[in-house]
Amino acid sequence: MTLTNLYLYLILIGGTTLAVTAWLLHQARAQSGRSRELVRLNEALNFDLPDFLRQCWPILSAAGFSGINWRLNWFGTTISGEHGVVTSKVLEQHFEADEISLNISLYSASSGWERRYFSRSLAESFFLLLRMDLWIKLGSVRSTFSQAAKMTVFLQHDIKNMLQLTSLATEQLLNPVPGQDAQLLSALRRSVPALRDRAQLMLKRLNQENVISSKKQTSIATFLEQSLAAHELQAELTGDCMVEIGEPSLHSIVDNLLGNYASQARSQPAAPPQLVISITEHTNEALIEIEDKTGTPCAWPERLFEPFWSEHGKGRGIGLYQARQTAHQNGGRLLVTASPDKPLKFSLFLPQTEHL
Amino acid sequence: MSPTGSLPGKLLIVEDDEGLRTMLSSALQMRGYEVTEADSRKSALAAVQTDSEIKVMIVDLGLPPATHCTDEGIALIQNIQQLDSASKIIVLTGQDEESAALAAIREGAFDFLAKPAMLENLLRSLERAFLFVRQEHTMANDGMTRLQINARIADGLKAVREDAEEKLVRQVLRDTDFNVYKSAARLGIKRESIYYFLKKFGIQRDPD
Repeated sequence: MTLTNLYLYLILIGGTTLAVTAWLLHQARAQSGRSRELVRLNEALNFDLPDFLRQCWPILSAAGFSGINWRLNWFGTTISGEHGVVTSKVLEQHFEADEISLNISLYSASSGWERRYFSRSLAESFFLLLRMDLWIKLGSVRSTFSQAAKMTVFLQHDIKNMLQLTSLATEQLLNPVPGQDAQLLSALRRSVPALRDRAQLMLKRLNQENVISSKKQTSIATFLEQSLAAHELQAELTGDCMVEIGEPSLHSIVDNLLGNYASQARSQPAAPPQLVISITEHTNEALIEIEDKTGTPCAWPERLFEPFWSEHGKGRGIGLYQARQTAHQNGGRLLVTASPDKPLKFSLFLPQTEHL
Repeated sequence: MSPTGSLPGKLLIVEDDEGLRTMLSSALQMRGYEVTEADSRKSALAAVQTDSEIKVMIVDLGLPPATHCTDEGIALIQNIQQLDSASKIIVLTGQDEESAALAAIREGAFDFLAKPAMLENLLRSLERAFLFVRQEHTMANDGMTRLQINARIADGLKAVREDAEEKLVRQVLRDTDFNVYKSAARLGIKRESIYYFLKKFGIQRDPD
């Protein structure tokens, strides 16, 4: 073999390697593009599994699959779909959870190993999307039922009180105690307005309406002292300044912030929280910082303001979310500082002057 | 006299819903009961400590600041039972009935009524409660006391005995206005034994 021939072989091998690599890269890029198309389609369909199954075939077909066959049981109703042709090279999956089950088969064309490799890779991505859609649906269904159940408990409490009041009033009116009409009338005069207020409060809660009332200047230290006393909490409170905010809003924010500490104090009376609250003035803002010196670091700081998330599942999980929203709607901010080795610190900024 | 002929007495209503509290209070006053009102655990305990004649209470379990769970109401029952285990607590609540009733009865509630309750049922429950108060008072005059003990069978007799001891000692100390000498005499034990029980059960005289 001459040197010239060797060079020729080397050039041929190098050229072939380059060509194969370029072709494989092209294939990979094409498959990656198909994956992105599937993801985009899924997003455009709001992660709806039946719609995604119905509309995914053009992308899969373009990616080189020869056929698809699926059967979905969607909360008791079965739907199915078939496209393309069936081959001997099949990729099958079965998903099942709660009231959803899916059997799906994807058929590859009888082509080279590299196409089968890319097809398998795309099929795995596709199956992952299907699985994700299934769990998104189940998650939202479970969450909705759970929240509905919680809300029912909360509303039932108020409704039962109202029903008890009206029931008592009705019994009094239908079977009055002789000679006690004046006392009954007096009781009704006091009870009925309270009943109306209760019903209005319930309606506001149902509408998730935020109480934006007339704003007034309030001493934040005095307000906090009263709230701490109501929650039977002890705190080292320093500083003071006036804030411009409606009292119901301030109540909502402060009660939601102190509520968790109060629950802790009730559940662990031997180790109540040692709250340190400082109030300082900033430019047109009051900064109220709340920290429990004996608190443990929070393992899930990202969950703190997430609505409907509750550590023990007991509460509605909207306390801190509501506090943050109310602060924002009143021109303030509620932030939390979380460190792996320190207790949480809440920073509440409230406007000192009229918020425009 | 109440319409049913039994003797009405003094009672405490613990309810945070102002309208309901007012209507309930009025309905009972019209039937001869002397009513004191409280809207929280704190004000209820203050009322009980101020007025030793209050032996019967109507308690809502959902009290502030935790109005949508039973924690405050159950804590109030525990507090009242520690102050005076002869008190009769009628729970009138809108909380989840099964679990709330179990918790309340375990802590020594006398009766449990779910909202909305008929006034007639409430009056009947009150009559029973006052009847028990009167009969137990008569028993006390004869040197007897009635104890309620929650016993977990697996804990054995020792736990039951200790629970009974503690309740009996607390009751007698309260009856004798914390007089150790009189309590020892009433229980037929030495004064040293009373001091031993005080230490063992962590019993302290309630601050006036």
